[in-house]
Amino acid sequence: MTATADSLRRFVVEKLQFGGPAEELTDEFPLIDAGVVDSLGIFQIVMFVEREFGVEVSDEELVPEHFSTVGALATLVDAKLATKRHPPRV
Amino acid sequence: MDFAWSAEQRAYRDTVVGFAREELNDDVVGRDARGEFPAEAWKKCAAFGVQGLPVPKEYGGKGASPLTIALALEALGYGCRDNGLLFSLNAHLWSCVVPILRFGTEDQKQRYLPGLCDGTLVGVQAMTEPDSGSDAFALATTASPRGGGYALNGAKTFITNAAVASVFVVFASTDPARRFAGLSAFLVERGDRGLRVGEPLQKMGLRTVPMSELGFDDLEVASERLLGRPGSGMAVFTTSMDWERSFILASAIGSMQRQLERCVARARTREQFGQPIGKFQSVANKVVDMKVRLETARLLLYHVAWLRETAQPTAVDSAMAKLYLSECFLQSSLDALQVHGGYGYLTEHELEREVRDSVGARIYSGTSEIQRTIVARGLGL
Repeated sequence: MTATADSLRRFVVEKLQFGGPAEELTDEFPLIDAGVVDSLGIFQIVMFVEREFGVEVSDEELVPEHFSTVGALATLVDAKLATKRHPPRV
Repeated sequence: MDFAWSAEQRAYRDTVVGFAREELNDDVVGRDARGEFPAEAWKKCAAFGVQGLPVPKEYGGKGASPLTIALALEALGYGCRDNGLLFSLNAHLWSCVVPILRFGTEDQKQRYLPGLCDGTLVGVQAMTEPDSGSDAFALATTASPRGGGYALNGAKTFITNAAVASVFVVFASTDPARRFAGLSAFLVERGDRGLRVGEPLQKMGLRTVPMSELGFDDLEVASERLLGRPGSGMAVFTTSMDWERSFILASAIGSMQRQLERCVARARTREQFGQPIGKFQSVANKVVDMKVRLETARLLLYHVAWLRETAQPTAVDSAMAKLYLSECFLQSSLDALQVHGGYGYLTEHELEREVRDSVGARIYSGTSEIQRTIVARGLGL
Protein backbone atom coordinates (compact mmCIF):
# COMPACT_ATOMS: atom_id res chain seq x y z
CA MET A 1 0.00 0.00 0.00
CA THR A 2 1.65 3.26 -1.06
CA ALA A 3 1.14 6.79 0.19
CA THR A 4 -0.29 7.61 -3.23
CA ALA A 5 -2.85 4.83 -2.94
CA ASP A 6 -3.82 5.92 0.56
CA SER A 7 -4.35 9.49 -0.55
CA LEU A 8 -6.48 8.34 -3.49
CA ARG A 9 -8.42 5.99 -1.22
CA ARG A 10 -9.28 8.80 1.19
CA PHE A 11 -10.51 10.91 -1.71
CA VAL A 12 -12.72 8.13 -3.07
CA VAL A 13 -14.20 7.41 0.37
CA GLU A 14 -14.81 11.03 1.25
CA LYS A 15 -15.87 12.48 -2.11
CA LEU A 16 -17.27 9.71 -4.29
CA GLN A 17 -20.02 7.14 -3.98
CA PHE A 18 -18.25 4.62 -1.75
CA GLY A 19 -20.54 3.86 1.18
CA GLY A 20 -18.18 1.84 3.38
CA PRO A 21 -15.13 2.54 5.55
CA ALA A 22 -11.70 3.16 3.98
CA GLU A 23 -10.31 -0.24 5.03
CA GLU A 24 -12.89 -1.99 2.85
CA LEU A 25 -11.68 -0.10 -0.22
CA THR A 26 -8.82 -2.37 -1.21
CA ASP A 27 -6.39 -1.62 -4.04
CA GLU A 28 -8.28 -4.17 -6.16
CA PHE A 29 -11.86 -3.04 -5.44
CA PRO A 30 -13.60 -2.51 -8.83
CA LEU A 31 -14.47 1.19 -8.71
CA ILE A 32 -16.21 1.42 -12.08
CA ASP A 33 -17.99 -1.93 -12.12
CA ALA A 34 -19.30 -1.36 -8.57
CA GLY A 35 -20.64 2.08 -9.56
CA VAL A 36 -18.35 4.00 -7.18
CA VAL A 37 -16.86 6.01 -10.04
CA ASP A 38 -19.11 7.31 -12.82
CA SER A 39 -18.15 9.49 -15.76
CA LEU A 40 -18.32 12.67 -13.69
CA GLY A 41 -16.43 10.93 -10.91
CA ILE A 42 -13.51 10.50 -13.28
CA PHE A 43 -13.44 14.28 -13.73
CA GLN A 44 -13.33 14.67 -9.96
CA ILE A 45 -10.47 12.19 -9.66
CA VAL A 46 -8.53 13.93 -12.44
CA MET A 47 -8.95 17.30 -10.75
CA PHE A 48 -7.88 15.83 -7.43
CA VAL A 49 -4.82 14.10 -8.90
CA GLU A 50 -3.71 17.23 -10.73
CA ARG A 51 -4.16 19.39 -7.65
CA GLU A 52 -2.83 16.95 -5.06
CA PHE A 53 0.15 15.48 -6.93
CA GLY A 54 0.95 18.27 -9.39
CA VAL A 55 0.85 15.96 -12.42
CA GLU A 56 -1.26 16.22 -15.55
CA VAL A 57 -3.62 13.51 -16.76
CA SER A 58 -3.82 13.74 -20.53
CA ASP A 59 -6.96 13.25 -22.62
CA GLU A 60 -5.57 10.00 -23.95
CA GLU A 61 -5.20 8.64 -20.42
CA LEU A 62 -8.93 9.01 -19.64
CA VAL A 63 -9.47 5.32 -20.26
CA PRO A 64 -11.25 2.91 -17.89
CA GLU A 65 -8.18 0.80 -17.08
CA HIS A 66 -6.54 3.74 -15.30
CA PHE A 67 -9.60 4.36 -13.14
CA SER A 68 -10.83 0.82 -12.57
CA THR A 69 -9.20 0.40 -9.12
CA VAL A 70 -7.31 2.46 -6.56
CA GLY A 71 -4.26 0.33 -7.37
CA ALA A 72 -4.43 1.11 -11.09
CA LEU A 73 -4.85 4.78 -10.40
CA ALA A 74 -1.94 4.81 -7.96
CA THR A 75 0.25 3.09 -10.56
CA LEU A 76 -0.58 5.82 -13.09
CA VAL A 77 0.10 8.61 -10.60
CA ASP A 78 3.33 7.04 -9.29
CA ALA A 79 4.62 6.63 -12.85
CA LYS A 80 3.92 10.29 -13.50
CA LEU A 81 5.62 11.32 -10.27
CA ALA A 82 8.67 9.26 -11.16
CA THR A 83 8.86 10.92 -14.58
CA LYS A 84 8.49 14.29 -12.92
CA ARG A 85 11.37 13.56 -10.53
CA HIS A 86 13.58 12.01 -13.20
CA PRO A 87 12.60 13.43 -16.59
CA PRO A 88 13.81 11.30 -19.51
CA ARG A 89 16.93 12.56 -21.25
CA VAL A 90 16.44 13.70 -24.82
CA MET B 1 -3.27 36.16 -17.16
CA ASP B 2 -2.66 38.28 -20.23
CA PHE B 3 -5.37 38.57 -22.83
CA ALA B 4 -3.80 41.49 -24.65
CA TRP B 5 -3.87 40.93 -28.40
CA SER B 6 -0.82 41.42 -30.55
CA ALA B 7 -0.99 43.74 -33.54
CA GLU B 8 -0.99 40.67 -35.74
CA GLN B 9 -3.95 39.16 -33.88
CA ARG B 10 -5.91 42.42 -34.06
CA ALA B 11 -5.29 42.61 -37.78
CA TYR B 12 -6.42 39.01 -38.16
CA ARG B 13 -9.62 39.78 -36.23
CA ASP B 14 -10.38 42.69 -38.57
CA THR B 15 -9.75 40.45 -41.57
CA VAL B 16 -12.14 37.81 -40.20
CA VAL B 17 -14.86 40.40 -39.56
CA GLY B 18 -14.47 41.78 -43.08
CA PHE B 19 -14.58 38.31 -44.62
CA ALA B 20 -17.67 37.31 -42.62
CA ARG B 21 -19.57 40.49 -43.43
CA GLU B 22 -18.82 40.27 -47.12
CA GLU B 23 -19.15 36.56 -47.76
CA LEU B 24 -21.44 34.88 -45.21
CA ASN B 25 -24.62 36.95 -44.96
CA ASP B 26 -26.25 36.27 -48.30
CA ASP B 27 -30.04 35.93 -47.87
CA VAL B 28 -29.88 34.74 -44.25
CA VAL B 29 -33.58 35.52 -43.75
CA GLY B 30 -34.58 33.53 -46.81
CA ARG B 31 -32.33 30.59 -46.03
CA ASP B 32 -33.62 30.52 -42.46
CA ALA B 33 -37.20 30.40 -43.76
CA ARG B 34 -36.34 27.60 -46.17
CA GLY B 35 -34.09 25.71 -43.73
CA GLU B 36 -31.31 25.83 -46.30
CA PHE B 37 -27.70 24.92 -45.52
CA PRO B 38 -25.25 27.51 -46.95
CA ALA B 39 -23.00 25.17 -48.93
CA GLU B 40 -21.22 28.02 -50.71
CA ALA B 41 -20.53 29.85 -47.45
CA TRP B 42 -19.15 26.60 -46.02
CA LYS B 43 -16.65 26.40 -48.88
CA LYS B 44 -15.70 30.05 -48.44
CA CYS B 45 -15.06 29.46 -44.74
CA ALA B 46 -12.83 26.51 -45.59
CA ALA B 47 -10.88 28.56 -48.12
CA PHE B 48 -10.45 31.22 -45.44
CA GLY B 49 -9.17 28.62 -42.99
CA VAL B 50 -11.99 28.40 -40.44
CA GLN B 51 -12.46 24.62 -40.56
CA GLY B 52 -8.75 24.10 -40.01
CA LEU B 53 -8.22 26.59 -37.19
CA PRO B 54 -6.95 24.09 -34.56
CA VAL B 55 -5.29 21.73 -37.05
CA PRO B 56 -1.51 21.80 -37.59
CA LYS B 57 -0.37 23.07 -40.98
CA GLU B 58 1.05 19.68 -41.91
CA TYR B 59 -2.55 18.39 -42.15
CA GLY B 60 -3.84 21.43 -44.03
CA GLY B 61 -4.91 23.57 -41.06
CA LYS B 62 -4.03 26.99 -39.70
CA GLY B 63 -2.33 25.77 -36.52
CA ALA B 64 -3.94 28.57 -34.54
CA SER B 65 -3.46 28.84 -30.77
CA PRO B 66 -6.51 28.57 -28.46
CA LEU B 67 -6.64 32.33 -27.82
CA THR B 68 -6.40 33.05 -31.53
CA ILE B 69 -9.18 30.53 -32.16
CA ALA B 70 -11.39 32.32 -29.62
CA LEU B 71 -10.62 35.64 -31.26
CA ALA B 72 -11.34 34.32 -34.75
CA LEU B 73 -14.65 32.72 -33.75
CA GLU B 74 -15.73 35.85 -31.91
CA ALA B 75 -14.92 37.92 -34.98
CA LEU B 76 -16.80 35.43 -37.15
CA GLY B 77 -19.89 35.85 -34.94
CA TYR B 78 -19.59 39.63 -35.13
CA GLY B 79 -19.45 39.67 -38.90
CA CYS B 80 -21.69 36.70 -39.73
CA ARG B 81 -25.39 36.82 -38.88
CA ASP B 82 -26.07 33.18 -39.78
CA ASN B 83 -25.98 31.44 -36.39
CA GLY B 84 -26.86 28.13 -38.06
CA LEU B 85 -23.70 28.24 -40.16
CA LEU B 86 -21.65 29.16 -37.09
CA PHE B 87 -23.16 26.26 -35.15
CA SER B 88 -22.46 23.91 -38.03
CA LEU B 89 -18.81 25.00 -38.15
CA ASN B 90 -18.45 24.50 -34.41
CA ALA B 91 -20.00 21.03 -34.52
CA HIS B 92 -17.60 20.12 -37.32
CA LEU B 93 -14.57 21.47 -35.47
CA TRP B 94 -15.07 20.19 -31.95
CA SER B 95 -16.99 16.98 -32.46
CA CYS B 96 -15.13 15.61 -35.46
CA VAL B 97 -11.92 17.46 -36.31
CA VAL B 98 -10.52 17.63 -32.77
CA PRO B 99 -11.27 13.97 -31.88
CA ILE B 100 -9.46 12.82 -35.04
CA LEU B 101 -6.60 15.19 -34.32
CA ARG B 102 -6.25 14.02 -30.70
CA PHE B 103 -7.03 10.31 -31.01
CA GLY B 104 -6.57 9.41 -34.66
CA THR B 105 -3.79 7.22 -35.99
CA GLU B 106 -1.43 8.81 -38.47
CA ASP B 107 -3.31 7.06 -41.27
CA GLN B 108 -6.64 8.39 -40.00
CA LYS B 109 -5.26 11.92 -39.75
CA GLN B 110 -3.88 11.74 -43.27
CA ARG B 111 -7.13 10.30 -44.61
CA TYR B 112 -9.58 12.77 -43.04
CA LEU B 113 -7.99 15.99 -41.78
CA PRO B 114 -6.99 17.59 -45.11
CA GLY B 115 -10.54 17.17 -46.45
CA LEU B 116 -12.10 18.34 -43.20
CA CYS B 117 -9.93 21.47 -43.40
CA ASP B 118 -10.39 22.30 -47.08
CA GLY B 119 -14.18 21.99 -47.01
CA THR B 120 -14.60 18.88 -49.13
CA LEU B 121 -15.60 16.86 -46.04
CA VAL B 122 -18.18 17.85 -43.45
CA GLY B 123 -17.77 16.25 -40.04
CA VAL B 124 -20.25 15.27 -37.40
CA GLN B 125 -20.43 13.41 -34.10
CA ALA B 126 -23.14 10.89 -33.28
CA MET B 127 -23.61 10.41 -29.56
CA THR B 128 -27.15 11.38 -28.52
CA GLU B 129 -29.88 8.75 -28.78
CA PRO B 130 -33.65 8.86 -28.30
CA ASP B 131 -33.26 7.53 -24.74
CA SER B 132 -29.88 9.00 -23.80
CA GLY B 133 -29.51 12.77 -23.85
CA SER B 134 -28.06 14.36 -20.72
CA ASP B 135 -27.19 10.85 -19.53
CA ALA B 136 -25.12 10.54 -22.68
CA PHE B 137 -23.19 7.44 -21.67
CA ALA B 138 -26.38 5.40 -21.27
CA LEU B 139 -26.50 4.84 -25.02
CA ALA B 140 -27.84 1.66 -26.59
CA THR B 141 -25.98 1.54 -29.91
CA THR B 142 -23.70 -1.50 -29.98
CA ALA B 143 -20.55 -2.44 -31.83
CA SER B 144 -20.13 -6.21 -31.94
CA PRO B 145 -16.96 -7.93 -33.15
CA ARG B 146 -17.39 -9.30 -36.67
CA GLY B 147 -14.82 -10.57 -39.13
CA GLY B 148 -11.86 -8.74 -37.63
CA GLY B 149 -13.86 -5.52 -37.37
CA TYR B 150 -17.17 -4.46 -35.86
CA ALA B 151 -20.86 -4.37 -36.76
CA LEU B 152 -22.74 -1.29 -35.56
CA ASN B 153 -26.43 -1.42 -34.70
CA GLY B 154 -28.58 1.32 -33.21
CA ALA B 155 -30.02 4.78 -33.74
CA LYS B 156 -28.97 8.35 -32.98
CA THR B 157 -30.90 11.60 -32.94
CA PHE B 158 -30.32 15.39 -32.92
CA ILE B 159 -27.26 14.87 -35.11
CA THR B 160 -26.07 18.26 -36.33
CA ASN B 161 -24.76 18.37 -39.92
CA ALA B 162 -25.91 14.78 -40.56
CA ALA B 163 -27.65 15.52 -43.86
CA VAL B 164 -24.53 17.12 -45.35
CA ALA B 165 -21.84 15.17 -43.49
CA SER B 166 -19.33 12.79 -45.00
CA VAL B 167 -17.48 11.69 -41.84
CA PHE B 168 -19.26 10.57 -38.66
CA VAL B 169 -17.61 10.01 -35.28
CA VAL B 170 -20.01 7.40 -33.91
CA PHE B 171 -20.08 6.26 -30.30
CA ALA B 172 -21.16 2.69 -29.62
CA SER B 173 -20.81 0.22 -26.83
CA THR B 174 -18.31 -2.59 -27.27
CA ASP B 175 -19.03 -3.76 -23.70
CA PRO B 176 -22.58 -2.74 -22.68
CA ALA B 177 -22.27 -4.13 -19.14
CA ARG B 178 -19.58 -1.55 -18.36
CA ARG B 179 -21.66 1.47 -19.45
CA PHE B 180 -19.36 4.48 -19.98
CA ALA B 181 -16.28 2.31 -19.54
CA GLY B 182 -17.38 0.08 -22.41
CA LEU B 183 -17.74 2.79 -25.04
CA SER B 184 -15.71 3.03 -28.22
CA ALA B 185 -15.60 5.60 -31.01
CA PHE B 186 -15.72 4.72 -34.71
CA LEU B 187 -15.18 6.62 -37.93
CA VAL B 188 -18.12 6.00 -40.25
CA GLU B 189 -18.20 7.29 -43.80
CA ARG B 190 -21.16 8.50 -45.81
CA GLY B 191 -21.05 5.64 -48.26
CA ASP B 192 -20.88 2.85 -45.70
CA ARG B 193 -23.53 0.20 -46.21
CA GLY B 194 -25.99 0.15 -43.33
CA LEU B 195 -25.94 3.89 -42.63
CA ARG B 196 -29.35 5.57 -42.67
CA VAL B 197 -29.64 9.38 -42.55
CA GLY B 198 -33.13 10.63 -41.71
CA GLU B 199 -34.92 13.67 -43.06
CA PRO B 200 -33.89 16.99 -41.48
CA LEU B 201 -35.75 17.61 -38.21
CA GLN B 202 -37.88 20.76 -38.05
CA LYS B 203 -36.71 22.99 -35.22
CA MET B 204 -37.24 26.36 -33.54
CA GLY B 205 -33.95 28.00 -34.54
CA LEU B 206 -30.57 27.35 -36.17
CA ARG B 207 -32.59 26.42 -39.22
CA THR B 208 -29.77 26.82 -41.72
CA VAL B 209 -27.96 23.83 -40.26
CA PRO B 210 -29.60 20.45 -40.80
CA MET B 211 -30.17 18.09 -37.90
CA SER B 212 -31.28 14.50 -38.44
CA GLU B 213 -31.66 11.05 -37.01
CA LEU B 214 -29.12 8.37 -37.92
CA GLY B 215 -29.54 4.61 -38.05
CA PHE B 216 -26.96 1.82 -38.20
CA ASP B 217 -28.19 -1.47 -39.58
CA ASP B 218 -25.41 -4.03 -39.31
CA LEU B 219 -23.00 -1.36 -40.49
CA GLU B 220 -19.66 -3.12 -40.80
CA VAL B 221 -16.46 -1.20 -40.16
CA ALA B 222 -12.89 -2.47 -40.21
CA SER B 223 -10.89 -2.23 -37.00
CA GLU B 224 -8.86 0.53 -38.69
CA ARG B 225 -11.95 2.72 -38.27
CA LEU B 226 -11.76 2.54 -34.50
CA LEU B 227 -10.90 6.02 -33.18
CA GLY B 228 -8.68 5.46 -30.17
CA ARG B 229 -8.52 2.10 -28.49
CA PRO B 230 -11.51 -0.14 -27.66
CA GLY B 231 -13.04 1.30 -24.49
CA SER B 232 -11.62 4.78 -24.97
CA GLY B 233 -14.92 6.24 -26.21
CA MET B 234 -15.36 8.16 -22.98
CA ALA B 235 -11.95 9.79 -23.40
CA VAL B 236 -12.78 10.74 -27.00
CA PHE B 237 -16.17 12.14 -26.02
CA THR B 238 -15.07 14.08 -22.93
CA THR B 239 -12.11 15.58 -24.78
CA SER B 240 -14.38 16.63 -27.60
CA MET B 241 -16.94 18.09 -25.16
CA ASP B 242 -14.27 19.98 -23.27
CA TRP B 243 -13.08 21.70 -26.44
CA GLU B 244 -16.64 22.25 -27.60
CA ARG B 245 -17.78 23.83 -24.35
CA SER B 246 -14.74 26.07 -24.39
CA PHE B 247 -15.39 27.52 -27.82
CA ILE B 248 -18.87 26.74 -29.15
CA LEU B 249 -20.24 30.06 -27.95
CA ALA B 250 -17.23 32.22 -28.85
CA SER B 251 -19.18 33.41 -31.88
CA ALA B 252 -22.07 34.37 -29.59
CA ILE B 253 -19.78 36.98 -28.04
CA GLY B 254 -19.52 38.58 -31.48
CA SER B 255 -23.29 38.32 -31.92
CA MET B 256 -23.86 39.97 -28.54
CA GLN B 257 -21.46 42.78 -29.48
CA ARG B 258 -23.42 43.33 -32.68
CA GLN B 259 -26.74 43.30 -30.79
CA LEU B 260 -25.41 45.81 -28.27
CA GLU B 261 -24.24 48.22 -30.99
CA ARG B 262 -27.62 48.00 -32.70
CA CYS B 263 -29.39 48.68 -29.42
CA VAL B 264 -27.22 51.68 -28.56
CA ALA B 265 -27.84 53.16 -32.00
CA ARG B 266 -31.56 52.49 -31.68
CA ALA B 267 -31.78 53.96 -28.18
CA ARG B 268 -30.03 57.12 -29.36
CA THR B 269 -32.14 57.72 -32.47
CA ARG B 270 -35.60 56.33 -31.76
CA GLU B 271 -37.67 59.08 -30.14
CA GLN B 272 -40.79 58.65 -28.05
CA PHE B 273 -42.45 61.20 -25.77
CA GLY B 274 -40.15 63.84 -27.30
CA GLN B 275 -36.79 62.30 -26.49
CA PRO B 276 -34.54 59.37 -27.45
CA ILE B 277 -35.72 56.18 -25.78
CA GLY B 278 -32.21 55.74 -24.33
CA LYS B 279 -32.99 58.64 -22.01
CA PHE B 280 -35.56 56.47 -20.27
CA GLN B 281 -33.86 54.52 -17.50
CA SER B 282 -35.89 51.38 -18.21
CA VAL B 283 -34.37 51.23 -21.69
CA ALA B 284 -30.88 52.43 -20.71
CA ASN B 285 -30.67 49.88 -17.91
CA LYS B 286 -31.48 47.08 -20.31
CA VAL B 287 -28.69 48.20 -22.65
CA VAL B 288 -26.27 48.55 -19.74
CA ASP B 289 -27.10 45.02 -18.61
CA MET B 290 -26.35 43.81 -22.14
CA LYS B 291 -22.95 45.52 -21.95
CA VAL B 292 -22.11 43.99 -18.56
CA ARG B 293 -23.21 40.57 -19.76
CA LEU B 294 -21.08 40.88 -22.90
CA GLU B 295 -17.93 41.90 -21.05
CA THR B 296 -18.22 39.28 -18.29
CA ALA B 297 -19.00 36.54 -20.80
CA ARG B 298 -16.05 37.63 -22.94
CA LEU B 299 -13.73 37.37 -19.94
CA LEU B 300 -14.88 33.81 -19.24
CA LEU B 301 -14.25 32.88 -22.87
CA TYR B 302 -10.77 34.39 -22.89
CA HIS B 303 -9.99 32.82 -19.54
CA VAL B 304 -10.82 29.29 -20.67
CA ALA B 305 -8.91 29.88 -23.92
CA TRP B 306 -5.94 31.10 -21.89
CA LEU B 307 -6.13 27.98 -19.71
CA ARG B 308 -5.91 25.90 -22.90
CA GLU B 309 -3.14 28.09 -24.25
CA THR B 310 -1.13 27.42 -21.08
CA ALA B 311 -2.01 23.68 -20.96
CA GLN B 312 -4.02 23.84 -17.76
CA PRO B 313 -7.11 21.76 -16.90
CA THR B 314 -10.34 23.21 -18.29
CA ALA B 315 -13.16 20.77 -17.44
CA VAL B 316 -14.88 23.02 -14.89
CA ASP B 317 -14.00 26.28 -16.62
CA SER B 318 -15.31 25.10 -19.98
CA ALA B 319 -18.58 24.09 -18.29
CA MET B 320 -18.82 27.52 -16.66
CA ALA B 321 -18.10 29.24 -19.97
CA LYS B 322 -20.71 27.17 -21.81
CA LEU B 323 -23.27 27.79 -19.07
CA TYR B 324 -22.71 31.51 -18.72
CA LEU B 325 -22.26 32.40 -22.38
CA SER B 326 -25.39 30.50 -23.41
CA GLU B 327 -27.53 32.15 -20.74
CA CYS B 328 -26.11 35.58 -21.63
CA PHE B 329 -26.68 35.02 -25.35
CA LEU B 330 -30.35 34.21 -24.84
CA GLN B 331 -30.96 37.14 -22.49
CA SER B 332 -29.08 39.55 -24.74
CA SER B 333 -31.11 38.37 -27.73
CA LEU B 334 -34.36 38.89 -25.81
CA ASP B 335 -33.27 42.35 -24.64
CA ALA B 336 -32.23 43.39 -28.14
CA LEU B 337 -35.65 42.42 -29.45
CA GLN B 338 -37.38 44.30 -26.61
CA VAL B 339 -35.37 47.49 -27.15
CA HIS B 340 -36.51 47.44 -30.79
CA GLY B 341 -40.16 46.93 -29.78
CA GLY B 342 -42.51 45.88 -32.57
CA TYR B 343 -39.74 46.16 -35.15
CA GLY B 344 -37.69 43.64 -33.22
CA TYR B 345 -40.56 41.20 -33.59
CA LEU B 346 -40.47 41.40 -37.38
CA THR B 347 -38.49 38.75 -39.23
CA GLU B 348 -36.88 41.24 -41.60
CA HIS B 349 -35.07 42.98 -38.73
CA GLU B 350 -33.29 39.72 -37.87
CA LEU B 351 -33.64 39.99 -34.10
CA GLU B 352 -36.42 37.46 -33.58
CA ARG B 353 -34.24 34.91 -35.39
CA GLU B 354 -31.42 35.46 -32.91
CA VAL B 355 -33.85 34.77 -30.06
CA ARG B 356 -34.87 31.49 -31.72
CA ASP B 357 -31.24 30.62 -32.44
CA SER B 358 -30.02 31.41 -28.93
CA VAL B 359 -32.56 29.21 -27.13
CA GLY B 360 -30.74 26.14 -28.42
CA ALA B 361 -27.50 27.31 -26.82
CA ARG B 362 -28.85 26.38 -23.39
CA ILE B 363 -29.49 22.83 -24.62
CA TYR B 364 -26.81 21.67 -27.06
CA SER B 365 -23.39 20.47 -25.91
CA GLY B 366 -24.88 19.71 -22.49
CA THR B 367 -27.82 21.61 -21.03
CA SER B 368 -27.34 24.42 -18.54
CA GLU B 369 -28.43 21.96 -15.87
CA ILE B 370 -25.67 19.52 -16.83
CA GLN B 371 -23.06 22.30 -16.86
CA ARG B 372 -24.11 23.20 -13.32
CA THR B 373 -23.79 19.54 -12.33
CA ILE B 374 -20.22 19.46 -13.66
CA VAL B 375 -19.29 22.65 -11.83
CA ALA B 376 -20.89 21.34 -8.63
CA ARG B 377 -18.82 18.15 -8.86
CA GLY B 378 -15.75 20.32 -9.41
CA LEU B 379 -16.57 22.06 -6.17
CA GLY B 380 -16.74 18.71 -4.40
CA LEU B 381 -20.54 18.85 -3.98
